[in-house]
Amino acid sequence: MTGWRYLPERDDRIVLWRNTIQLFYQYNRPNFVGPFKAAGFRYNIEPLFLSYEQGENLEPDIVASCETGWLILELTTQPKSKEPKLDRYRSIDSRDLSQYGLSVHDGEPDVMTSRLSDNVDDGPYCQITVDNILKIEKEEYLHNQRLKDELIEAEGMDLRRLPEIPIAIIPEMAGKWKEIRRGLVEIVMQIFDPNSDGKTPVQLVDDGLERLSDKIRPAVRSQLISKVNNAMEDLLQNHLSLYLEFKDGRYRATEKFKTHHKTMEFIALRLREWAGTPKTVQTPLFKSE
Amino acid sequence: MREITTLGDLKGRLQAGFENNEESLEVFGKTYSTQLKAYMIESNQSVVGAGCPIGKWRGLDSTGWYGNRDEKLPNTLFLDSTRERVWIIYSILDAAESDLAIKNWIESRKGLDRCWLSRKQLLHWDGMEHWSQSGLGLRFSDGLYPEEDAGKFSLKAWYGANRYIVGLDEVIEKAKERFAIYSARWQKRRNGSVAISAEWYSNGKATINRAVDVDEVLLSISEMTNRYDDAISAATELRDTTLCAFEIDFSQEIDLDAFSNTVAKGTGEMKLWLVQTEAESDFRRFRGVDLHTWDRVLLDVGPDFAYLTIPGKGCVNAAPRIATIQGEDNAGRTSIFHDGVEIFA
Repeated sequence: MTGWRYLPERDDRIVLWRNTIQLFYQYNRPNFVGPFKAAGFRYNIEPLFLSYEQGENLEPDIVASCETGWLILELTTQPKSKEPKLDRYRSIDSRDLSQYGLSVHDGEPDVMTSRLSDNVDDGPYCQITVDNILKIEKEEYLHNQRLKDELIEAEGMDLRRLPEIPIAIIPEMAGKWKEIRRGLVEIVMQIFDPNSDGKTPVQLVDDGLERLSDKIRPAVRSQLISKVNNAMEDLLQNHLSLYLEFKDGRYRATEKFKTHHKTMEFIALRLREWAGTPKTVQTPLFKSE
Repeated sequence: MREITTLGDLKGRLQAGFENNEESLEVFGKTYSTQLKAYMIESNQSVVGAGCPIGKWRGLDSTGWYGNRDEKLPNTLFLDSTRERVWIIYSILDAAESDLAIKNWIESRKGLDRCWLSRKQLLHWDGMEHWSQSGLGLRFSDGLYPEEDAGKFSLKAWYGANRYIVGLDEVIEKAKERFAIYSARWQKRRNGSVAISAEWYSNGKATINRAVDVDEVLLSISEMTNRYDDAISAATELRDTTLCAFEIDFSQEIDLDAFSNTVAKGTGEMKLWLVQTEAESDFRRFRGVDLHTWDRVLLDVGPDFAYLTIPGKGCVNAAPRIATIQGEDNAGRTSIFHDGVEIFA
C-alpha cells in the first residue's frame, strides 16, 4: 500500500531563496527595507567553512555580518528539523569570515532558519517564515539586539512582490519538474537567437545555476542535467516540435524558426503553457511503504 | 582633397566646420559645413567585429581613433573607441543620412546599443559655471495603446519664448515633472558670447549647433561619455556582486495587459521578448530575452515600477534602455535605483 501526503507545489525553492535574499535589500516601490539591510548586514551565499574541532566541511546557505555581529542562515523546505545541522554551524571559526569579504567578530554567530511554513521546530534557534508575509519566531535566541529589533520591526511585511533573483535553478530543485521548467523559460528563448549554435544540456543547467554553478557537487549537477533533459524532451515532443530540435548534443532552433512576431508570440505562449503558472498543484511530499 | 589620416587632421576639419571657413573646408573637399553630430555607442564588441556604419574603418595616427574609408562617403564618420564600453562616433554627414546609417548599423550588429541618457545625465550641466539650458524636448507616446486611443504628448521648447505667453513656464515645468525628457539644449557662454551650443538626446546623440573651439567641444562630449562609461561599469559590478534587482520607477501608471501583449510578440521599441509567468491584476512577472543582445532578463512589473534582474553576464545597458524607452513610450518620467540608491544619474 502506498500512502501519499501532499503539499502545494509552487516555485517553493526559488520563492524561499528570493524572499530571504531580498531581506538584505531595499526597494522604493512599494516601500520595502529588508530587516537584514536595516541592520547593516552584508552576505555571502553558499560559502565553505570547516568546523573548528573536526575540520568537517560546513556549507551554510547564507553567511552575513555587520558591525554588530554575524549571522548564519539555513534555507530549507524540508519537513525535518534542522537542529543538528544548526548545532554544527556554531562551531564555524569566525576568523574565516574574512575570506568572504565579511567582517570578523569574536564569539558565536546567530544561527537561524528560513522556511516557507512554520510547522517545523528547528530547536533553540530563531526561525523566520518568508512565505507571503514575514513571520518571526523564537527571536529570544538571537544574541544581536540590533538584528532582533529589526526583525521584530519587520514582522508582517508583505513579501509577495519582491523581485526575482538571477538564479533560476537551484540544486534542491531536482525533484520539482514544473519549477525547473519555469527556471528554463528564458534560457530556452536564448536558443532562438539567430546567431546561437544552440545549447547543450550542461549549458542549460549552468546558465540556470548562474553564480551557484561552480559551487555544486558533480552528483547534484548530474541529477539536474537529467531533470532538464526530461523537461526539454517534453518541450520538444509536445509543445515546440516545429521550432526546436535536439541535434549533435545541442538543443537548437529548427530552420522553420524566423524572428517574426507571430512565431515569437506562438513560442511565448507555448513556453508559458509548458512551464505553467505557479499555482497550487498536488504533488507528493513523501511516499510511505 | 586632403585625406584625414591623423587626429590633428580631424580636429582641423571640425574646426573649419565650426568657423564655416570656406577656404579650410575646401582643403577637405567641402564648400559648406553640416553640424557636427556625436553618437554614444554602448559596445560589447571589438572594433573589427562591430564594423563600420559606412565603408570600413581605417586607423588614424592616434590609438583607438578611426576614420571611415568608403567609395562614396569617405572621411564622414570618425570613431573614438578609446573607452572600453562606450564609443563615440562623430559624423559630419547631414542628419537624415547620418541617423539612418547609425540606426541600421546598431540594429544589424549584436552587442551594440545606444547609450540611453537619464534625465539627470541630460541635465548634467545644470548649475555649472558658464552653462545654461536653452531648451528641452518632452515626449509621451502612449505606445501601449492602439494609435486611435493613444493620448500622445510632445513638446519642444526654447527658453526665451516663454516671455511671450503668461503661464507658459508653469505648463512646461508641470509637463517636465510628468513626462520623459528626450532632449536638452545647452549653451556654454564665455566673455558674453556662445562658446558651445549643443542639443543632447536621450538616445545618446548630440548635435553641435555652434562652437568656437574643437577641443572644448570634444571634451564636453567626452565628459558625458565618461559619465556613462562609469555608470555602466558601476552597474556591471552591482550585477556581479549582488542579487539585488535594478528598480525603475515611473511617474505614470502603465497598462499591464497592454504591456504583456506587446512583450509576448517581441515587438515594440523596447525590443523585449518575454513570457508572463505570474499574473495578478496589479503585478506581473516576466522572463525572457533582451532582443538587442539576446541576453536573459527577468522583469517584475507593477503599475508604476519595474524590477529588472539580469542573470549571468547580461548587458546592464538594458536598465537605462528600458527606463528611457518605457518612459518616452508610456511611463512618463523614470528613475533607476539599486538598493534604494539612484544610479545612471
